[in-house]
Amino acid sequence: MLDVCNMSVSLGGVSIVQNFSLQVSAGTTTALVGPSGSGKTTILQTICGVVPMTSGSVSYDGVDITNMPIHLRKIGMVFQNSDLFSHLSVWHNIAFGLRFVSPRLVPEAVTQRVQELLHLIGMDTFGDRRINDLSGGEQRRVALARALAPRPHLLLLDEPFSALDSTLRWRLIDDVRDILSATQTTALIVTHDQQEADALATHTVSIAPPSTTALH
Amino acid sequence: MVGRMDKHHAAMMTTLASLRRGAILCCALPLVWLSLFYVLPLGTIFFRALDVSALIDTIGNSGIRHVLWFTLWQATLSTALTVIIAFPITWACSQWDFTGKHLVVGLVTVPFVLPTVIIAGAIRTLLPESLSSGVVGILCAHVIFNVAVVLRIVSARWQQVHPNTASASRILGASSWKTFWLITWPMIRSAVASAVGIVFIFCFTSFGVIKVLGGPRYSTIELEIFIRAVQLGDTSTAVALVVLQLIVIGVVLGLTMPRNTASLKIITYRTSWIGDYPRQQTLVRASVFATILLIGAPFLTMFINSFRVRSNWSINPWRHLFDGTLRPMGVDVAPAMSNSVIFAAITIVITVPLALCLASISAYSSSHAGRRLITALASAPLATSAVALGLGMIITFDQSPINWRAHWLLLVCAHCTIALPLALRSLTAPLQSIPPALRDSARTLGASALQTWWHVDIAIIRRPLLVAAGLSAAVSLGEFGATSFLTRTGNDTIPTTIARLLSRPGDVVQSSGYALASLFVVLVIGVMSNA
Amino acid sequence: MKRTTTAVILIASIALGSCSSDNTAIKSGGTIKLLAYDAFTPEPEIFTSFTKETGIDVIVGLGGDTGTLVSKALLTAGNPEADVLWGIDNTLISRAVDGDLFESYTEVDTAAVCVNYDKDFFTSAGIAPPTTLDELALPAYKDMLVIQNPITSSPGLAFMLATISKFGVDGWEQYWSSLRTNGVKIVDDWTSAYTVEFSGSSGQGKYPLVVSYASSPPAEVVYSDPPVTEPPTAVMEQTCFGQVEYAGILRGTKKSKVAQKLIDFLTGKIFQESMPLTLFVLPINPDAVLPDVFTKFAVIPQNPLTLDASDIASNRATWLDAWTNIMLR
Repeated sequence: MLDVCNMSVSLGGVSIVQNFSLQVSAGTTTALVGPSGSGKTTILQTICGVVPMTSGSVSYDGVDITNMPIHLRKIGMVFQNSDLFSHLSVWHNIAFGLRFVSPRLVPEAVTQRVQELLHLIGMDTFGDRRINDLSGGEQRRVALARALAPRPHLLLLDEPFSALDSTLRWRLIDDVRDILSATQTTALIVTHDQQEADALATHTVSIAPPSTTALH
Repeated sequence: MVGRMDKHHAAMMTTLASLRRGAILCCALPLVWLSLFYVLPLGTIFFRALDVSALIDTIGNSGIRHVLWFTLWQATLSTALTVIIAFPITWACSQWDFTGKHLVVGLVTVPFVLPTVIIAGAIRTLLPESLSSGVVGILCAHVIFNVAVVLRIVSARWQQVHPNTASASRILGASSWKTFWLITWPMIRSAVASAVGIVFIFCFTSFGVIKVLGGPRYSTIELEIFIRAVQLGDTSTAVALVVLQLIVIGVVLGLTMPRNTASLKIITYRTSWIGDYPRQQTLVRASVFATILLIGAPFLTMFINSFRVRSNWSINPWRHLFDGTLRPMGVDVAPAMSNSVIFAAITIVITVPLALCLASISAYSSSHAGRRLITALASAPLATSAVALGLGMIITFDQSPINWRAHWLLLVCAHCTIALPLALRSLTAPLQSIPPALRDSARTLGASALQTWWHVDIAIIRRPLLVAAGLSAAVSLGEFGATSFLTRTGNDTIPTTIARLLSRPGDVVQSSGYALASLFVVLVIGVMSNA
Repeated sequence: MKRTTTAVILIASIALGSCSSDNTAIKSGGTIKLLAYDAFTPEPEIFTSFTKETGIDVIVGLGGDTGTLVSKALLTAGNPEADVLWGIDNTLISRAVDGDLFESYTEVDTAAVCVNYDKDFFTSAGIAPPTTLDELALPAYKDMLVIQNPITSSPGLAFMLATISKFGVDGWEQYWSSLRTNGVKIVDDWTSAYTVEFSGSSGQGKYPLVVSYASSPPAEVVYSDPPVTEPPTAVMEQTCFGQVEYAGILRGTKKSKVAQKLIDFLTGKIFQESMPLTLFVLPINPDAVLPDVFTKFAVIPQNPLTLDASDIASNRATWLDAWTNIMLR
């Protein structure tokens, strides 16, 4: 279970998140809904450690991970965009996280896992493709598969569907919901769209933008 | 109706014609210039060096082979050290935003536009003589000179890597180092390769540094060209060496230049404010502090030494600069200064328009190959040894109707050619980043082609134009290689005067050299901060 | 294109107006330009009498060390930047003559390049100072000698030629190998060697033996501060190489007549008598009287080592390459 307690974040002297608290139970999907500028993305980035928090704490299953180095947190994250490794093939993108799994996986296990995920996202034959040759929807699916590959404790999704046209978006939302339930992954998804939240999540948390007073 | 159409058509034709005239002029000016003051002199060198036996003799000469070997290994080592030492500050500047960042980048750039003689002199005041005269001193000077090259080229590329990419890698379980090697490095590798290529060429063709710090023992091909041509009068060996050097540089450029520069995004992502990341703050601070210390220390000790005569404090070194004491040794500061300033002014007047022409062609041109050709041609002087250019000019312009070799204007022409690539670089990107729609809308509103060019293009790149002018001036003020070749009695510039003072080991005289060098550093910082 | 041509011409004319003024300015009797090596430091007012007599001002330009001076002059042969050139010596004169540099030239002074030693050092160390070139290579004199790079320094070149004259084309390279083993220090120019590294002069350096001139001991007396009556240095007479310096009228000058007048002045009694104490060379003019300090302390070697000028001309490059390979690589 993820437990965010009184998280405050300020960047460049501007307070982005103030005293934010949240709990996500194991195996459930929670949607974080709010208008742009409400600090949703920052909350995700702070949970996974990319952005440091000013005060507060984050723990997972009772372990305080507030100051844990990013790469040891065993969290998966799908960004809004631009997070794929464009110099690597689809296959190597998905396999990337598997090289840091302990105990170390044998090459056969890696291959098997990547195949599994390619199948899960319906892109079995895409392993050798270059990232830049993929469509937007394909790219988000690869990002999802890559995040799921090392079997993270917690999956964070940051508006993963925002750049897609509506047909594609709904198809992908269905896919993601199925994948999440099939893998029994605990997930926190950020969106500005209530419908999207309803379609994906078991719980919904709404947030409002903080009072935009500068700290100094 | 028909009449109006015709009128409109006629107007369009005039515009087109004037555009074409402008384009032709734009192409012709720089092409004529580069043919005359780059291709012709170097072509003449190649032509003369077709004397294969001289080339074979030169390569067969064990002394020359020794020089070639030293040139190669010191350049390789200097380049490696530069990249390693420039790395932390490059990381700090491309990934983080911190107070005084522009100042730091500016400071790091100062040595790059200084005469290498000054850097070498400064190193001599920092290190004990046993270290400074020799390989250690040479390496230090090369590193200090070139850190800016790595910083500028690599951080430009690094800023184009989306921060999400590295974050994704960390989140997937890669440590910071693993993330760097597996994700960031492959993305910035091509920029590092270009930087390595350029730094290597600068170190390979090093002249002023070796002249001041090399002593009799260490010599590079570049210095050997000078010694052969000027001190020994052995032009055929000098020319053979020029050819040899061009071959090596050609190979290095071929190996390190990026093959597909086509799809480089010009988006740079916002860097994060370091104050928000306490963990990285110490590292950034340390990088900045270490770099400033490395680059500032020699200049500080040089400044201090300019007040010291035989371990006593004295302002005589500064006084002697202007009271005529040094005149009997052929050192006259005031005319050298006015020469330097006049040369720099003319260099600006010639170089900036030429660079503007070239940059405009490359911004307006639709032909990708043509664009690359122009950039390559105009960048070539950056990679060519200035001494070779000087030698080429002397042996080319030695007959009427262009018997100019004795004229100091030839020296200014060399300065312009050498400054052109840098001026061009500062104009190309800004011109290319002007969206065509902006020009189109100006035209739709009734502006002529010329008016559009003036009110849109020139107005937008006013600042880059100042930068180009500043860089041209700095190159002219600091140029030493071609200058020591082409300089004539009475045409001493500040760098040649400093070199003269530093090579006179009387306590006061040498300190006067440090004083003049300090003065020059201040002058350059002034010019740069204005641009 | 037309516009740029105009611009270039415009710039050129501004340039000509501003920087070449010293060439074209005509004062009452005009000017004459004398080009010399960097070490040309005559009495500051020496040319006043010439100007009084002829109404012509002398402008002295310095053009680097002798080698650079010759090379640069050769690059502008026939279209010279000065009228008279001072200071090409017998090691380089053939190059100048082959390059058709001069309208005419003449000997102006003689000098001898010899190894000098610090008298005090050898007295207090209780060692006899060396007397021959051979002895310089002995272990007793290890790490004592500082010389100049013959590529960049004319006394350095003269010393190298002295060894060739002494040991012959077959033996000199062997001699230099032994000098290298014996720890000879090489610097770029005379000033560094004599005033910094040498222990017997102002620099108080570490090396008691230095390649310098036969006239260096009297110079020590003339310029000593506080005054001394005896030079602290002396000359190894058997190491001396005879140098002759030339001055010439540069071919292509438009002022041949005035140039000849200047040459006459340079070889005349007034200038020749001033040379020993300012340039530390010996006059060529037999009428010139040597100053006391010179007759007293200068060594005038009776049979200095010499080499034929044409020999030097044809082998200089090869010898220098060989020397560089032995000593610096």
